[in-house]
Parts: sequence; C-alpha cells; structure tokens
Amino acid sequence: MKTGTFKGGLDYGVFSVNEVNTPIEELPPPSEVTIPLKQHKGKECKAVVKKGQEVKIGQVIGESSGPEEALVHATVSGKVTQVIKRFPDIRGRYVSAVTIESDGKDEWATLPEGKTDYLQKGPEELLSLIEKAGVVDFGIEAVPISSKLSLIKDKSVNTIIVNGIDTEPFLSAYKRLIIEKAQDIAEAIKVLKKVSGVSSIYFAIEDRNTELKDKISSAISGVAELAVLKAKFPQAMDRPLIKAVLEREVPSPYGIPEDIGVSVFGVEAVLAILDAVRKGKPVIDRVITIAGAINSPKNLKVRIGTPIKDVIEHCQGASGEVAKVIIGGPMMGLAQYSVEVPVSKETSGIFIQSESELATISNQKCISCGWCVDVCPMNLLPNIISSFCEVNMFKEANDYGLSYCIDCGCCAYICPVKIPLVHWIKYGKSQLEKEEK
Amino acid sequence: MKEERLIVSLHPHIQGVETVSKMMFITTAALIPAAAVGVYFFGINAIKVIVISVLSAVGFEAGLQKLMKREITINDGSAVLTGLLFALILPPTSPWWMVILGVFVGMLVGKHVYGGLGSNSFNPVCVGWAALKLSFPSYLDISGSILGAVKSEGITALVEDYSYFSEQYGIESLEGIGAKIKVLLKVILAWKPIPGATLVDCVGQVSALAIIIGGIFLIWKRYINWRIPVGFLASIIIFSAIFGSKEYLYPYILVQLLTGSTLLAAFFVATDPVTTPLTGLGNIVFGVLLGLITMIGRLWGSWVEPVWFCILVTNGFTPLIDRLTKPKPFGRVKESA
Repeated sequence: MKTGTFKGGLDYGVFSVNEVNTPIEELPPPSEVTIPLKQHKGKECKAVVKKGQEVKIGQVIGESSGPEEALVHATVSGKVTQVIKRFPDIRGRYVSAVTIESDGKDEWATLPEGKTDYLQKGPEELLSLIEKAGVVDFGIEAVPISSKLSLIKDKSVNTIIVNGIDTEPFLSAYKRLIIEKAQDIAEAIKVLKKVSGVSSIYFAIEDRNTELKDKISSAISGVAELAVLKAKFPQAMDRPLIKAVLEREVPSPYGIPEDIGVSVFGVEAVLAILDAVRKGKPVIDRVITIAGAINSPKNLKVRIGTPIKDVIEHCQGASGEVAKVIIGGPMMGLAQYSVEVPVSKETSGIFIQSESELATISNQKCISCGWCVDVCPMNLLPNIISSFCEVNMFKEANDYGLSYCIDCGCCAYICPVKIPLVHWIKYGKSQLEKEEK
Repeated sequence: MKEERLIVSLHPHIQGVETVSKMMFITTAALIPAAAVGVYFFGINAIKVIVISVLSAVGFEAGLQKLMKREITINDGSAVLTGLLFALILPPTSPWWMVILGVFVGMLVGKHVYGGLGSNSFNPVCVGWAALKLSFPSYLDISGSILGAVKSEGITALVEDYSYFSEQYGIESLEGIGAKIKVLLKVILAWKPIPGATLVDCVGQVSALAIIIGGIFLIWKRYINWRIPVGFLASIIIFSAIFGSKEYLYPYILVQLLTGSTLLAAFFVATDPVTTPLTGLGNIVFGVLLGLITMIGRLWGSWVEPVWFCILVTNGFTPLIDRLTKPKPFGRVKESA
C-alpha cells in the first residue's frame, strides 16, 4: 500500500453538504431517450439509423470513423422518432442526436452473456471488443478508451493508475461501485493489464472511508497496488492524482500524462471494459449521483439518453425552488439551462441548487490574504492572474501562468472576498487564445 | 419546475463560508483579551481611547467613502478592527484630539487615497501611529516602560539595580532553570510597573498572555498566517541573541520578545493580509526581515519602540518579496520557463 498527497486543494471538511451514500439503484428505462452522437472528446459520430426505423438495445446508431471516437448505441428498444441535426449538448454546443421512443419491451440486439474465456483472448481481439462497446473514460472530458490504449502504445506508457476517487465532493458513484463491485474491478484490472501490456498498476482511493479500503484492498491484492491518498479536492484530476500517487509532475501547461509514461483510467471505465469483453455489453448506461437540493439523493444506474428531468422526478423532485441544475458536481460542473438535457457518457452526476444556495460574487478588491495561493494545486497566484485578466492584460497574466490553470475552482471557492476568479481566468484564457491566433 | 428560470453560470457553483467581514470581526474579537487587560490596568482612560478610536475609525471610513463616491463598507468590519488596533498601540494618556487625528491620517493617507481596503501598500494603523509619533513625540513616550528602561539603563542595570525580578517576583537569583521558568510565567501573565513607578505602556500591550491567547486562537482558526508571527518572533530571538547584551542574555531576549509592542505587532498588525506577501515563503521572509529591522531600530535607533515604523518599512519590501518568491508552476518544463 502506498500513501501520498499533492500540494494545495481543499479538505473535504470545508464542504458543508453531506455525501450521498445510498446503494446503486437502477432507474427504470424511460419512455423516450435522446442520444447525442458526440459524447466524447473528438469528432461527432455519423448517424446510421433513419426516422421510423426499429432499433434494439445495443444496436449501433452512431458509427465512428476511427479510434478517436466512441461508437454510440441505442439504449432502449423501440422506434427512432427523430434524427436531430442541431441538438444542444451540455456545453451548449450543437451536436446531432437520435431520439428513440421506447416500445417498453427492452429487447437486446444480442443479449449480453457471461463468458469465462475472455482472459485467454489476445490483446487485439480484446481491443476490438472494447471498441465495439463504445467505452470511454467517463467524465466531462470523455476520451474513448481505444484512443487511450493507442496512446499507451505510442508513448510506451509503463504505469497505469485506476482512479477510484469521485471527481467532486458530493459525488459518490465511484465509491459505491468500488464497495459493490470490488471483485469485478479486480477482474477488470486483469483485462486492462492484458489489453494494454502494462503491468504496473495502481488503484487510487482516498483515506476517508475504511469500508471501501477494506473491500478493495483484499479484492485487488496481487493484481494492483493500492494507493491510499489524503482526501482532498481535486484529487481525481490527472495532474494532482499522478503527483499524489507517483510523486511525478505532468509537464504543464500542455503536456498529457502519457508524456511521462502514465495513463489514468476511471474505475467506471474499467468496469465498462470488463462488461465489453466478458459479456459483449456496450455502454448503454452509467452510474451517476443525484445530489444537492433534492428530496431523495441517490446513486442511480441510468440509461444514456434519459432526460435529466426523469432522473429528478425519480428522486422525488427538487426540494424547494430550483435555481440551477448542474451536470457534474458543484465545483466544476456545467450549469444547464434546460432539464430536457439527456444523461450522456459525460454526465457524472446531477447537482440541484436552490436559490438560497447560489454562490455570490462581489466587486470588492482582493485583500491579498493568499488563501487562493494556498489552495491552488498548480502552484499559481490566482489572485494576481485574475486581476491581470480583469484589466485585459492577458500577456502579463500568462507570465504568471494563466495557461497552467486547470479550472478546478478551489481559488474561487475559498476566496473570502468572493471574487469570481474562475470567471476572470477563463475569460483570460479565451482572450489569450484569440490574441495568439 | 419552472424551466425558464434556470440559471446558467460558471463553476464553482458553491463557495466557502468565510467572508472578509467574518475575518475582520473574529480578529477584532481576538483582541478583546488584550483590550480587557488594558482596561483593568488603566481604567477609564483606556476605555476613552478605545471608544474614541473605534468610533472615529468607522466615522472616517464612511465619511471618506462618501466623499470619494465609493460604496460604503463599514459593515465589513475593517474600520472597527483598525480603530481598535490603533487604540491598543496608544498610551492611555493620549488626548482625544490626538487619537482622532491619528485615525484620520491612518484612514486617509494609509487607506483611502489608495482606493480603500485591498489597495493600500502600507498598514493604516502604522501610518496613523507614525504621523503622531513624528508630530507629538511626547504624548507617545513610553520610555518609562520595561523596554524603555532596558534601552536607557541597559539590562544589567535593570536586573541588578532595580532588583526588578527579585523584588517583584521574589526570586533571589536568575541562576537555575526553576527561577527562569518562574520569571517566564510571571512575565507572560502581565508585566507590572517598575517598583516605585507607575505603569507606563500602551493600552493593549500590558499582558503578553492576553495577546498570545488571541493570536493562537486566530492561527488555530486560520484567520492569520502563522508564518509571519513565527518568522518575526524567531528573528527577534535570534537577532537579540546576536546583538544584545551578552550578560543577562536570557532576560534580555525575554524583554525584547514579551514587552513593548512585539507580540501585538507579531499577531495582529504585521499579519494584515493586504500589506504582506502572498506566498508562505514570502511571509516567512517578511517576518524575519521585520524582526531584523525592529532589532536594529531598538538597538541603534532613538525610539524606544520603533516596531510600527519598521512594519511600514517592511511593507515597502512586500512587492520585492512577492517578486522574489513567485512560485514555480506545477509541472513547468524548461522551454516555457
């Protein structure tokens, strides 16, 4: 067992809301799903179904043109009611989407069945099974696993970290997955070893849950080394995570973990890899946490394409007047303007906020308390960078490391003056990009 | 659910509970023990100075902000804190007009000409004090205090001739560890006047213990950075050991550390976030530099207690310290350096 931590970040003690800790429940299939054809980093998939066509669960509806994109599958059986060209995704950009009306039968194209010979297969065969299943590294930057695996080959990666840490406070889907599926995770890591050819694997968790630690440490012994890290946000992000586990820094601002021979996989992605090779089951659902101002917060297994309003209804609705609906978590999530937005491979959670809980901002001046400096995991001076951006001095802001910022939001969270630091820094980054062009 | 009312804005969507006004009021509360000891020893005079100082600080803050057409921010507590701190570093005998004048200069020249809280480069409390010290030195004279006696008579004379420790605390000799601990305990509880003389000191700096209690509380609650007090006090100890009287070195260090304005400066004034460096390393450098300048001032300067002036001087070094201690960003590679 390894321990470690990184500089900066926020202790979980500062977050005032409790974590959801309910077992994973399955949400009944919705009556209609809207499936975006771009749920990953990279180009959009091409629709291969037409309006009126009957589809079954697991049938490919979006075809990829290479390993940089992940296949998109139907997640309910029924009739395609629409192929939309301009559907707003969670970032407010337009993508194509397919809507399917469920026939209620929930029929599979090919029923997933458990096989036992999957570890005998060669890496090439396993890789093609993973590609067929459309597995991505779930999260806001959903990179297709096939693309990550090819990077492992290209950059001769020698270490893999499987991340068992939820990306944000209040999200607990990963934690529940580890508690409920510890044995499967161990199997999944064996598959990952085989398909990637990497033998040095770390499994990263935080030190605040002993139940989780006991479960996973016995399950993965001999398969991967456990890294128990000091509980802090934003540990689940690549740079702090690799620093905490391996004491190594990813070259910044533009490097990627693979540059130093490390690759990071989320625990849910690893489980999806196992489903793909063991059962031939494509990604049709994922586990998300619904938290915040909601009557019954839950961890739910949700079909991809389910409108988030269905999910909210299943959790007995929001408590009080809803002000914000956030995809992801409260620290880095994306606020949505509509509850019609579907759950996708990029959705890790839904966080509801009522009017009284909204963050405030102020136009007071920075008092140089240095708290943002203490919490910055990138070792920057956020207040200085932000004040340069505020007066349009982007070059000067960049001299102080503007482009190193990973948008974790710790600075804006801790600021006693309530300066919207993330706002100014993101504004500065976009303006700097424009100036450089 | 009324969908059209959903708010879209940038993350983070939640924020911490700490605010500037909470910071200021808790710091103010941490000064209450020190102020209470002052009131106990000096009575009505101390109350007068404190009340006049706090009220005029709040009044000038509001007045100057109105005059400069800025948002009035007396609710953020920074004026109350400035007022209280200013009162605590004045002798209780200060006349009312001088207190008001000092607060006015501190507020105007120390704070509002720069643009208010957050923009000033020099500590307003120290600016106000420096103005009074230069204009009315006799009213700010504390040469009758322990620190003053050490300066004028020397520590040897104080210990031997005044029989200070032996008469006051019933300690025959300063030899032996037991006697030393006894003196230390007595000293941190509260300095008493030199036998036969009246207590001469400033309102808030009579009891080292009261100040330490407030300071430790703030460090524990993380409202002040531990690095400045630690750097400053360590530097006082080191430099008084190097430069100070070698005979009776231990009482000498103790006097430098626990009397005068050392502790009040260490925990409450030098830690003002606005005028100090940003990074942890920067704050340690600031503390050590302040300690050095203070010891130079005490040993070779003409004032008994120059620490407030030394804070102003060190504030001037803050931009330089910030520049020299600029942290290296995470994972920086050579090319982009």
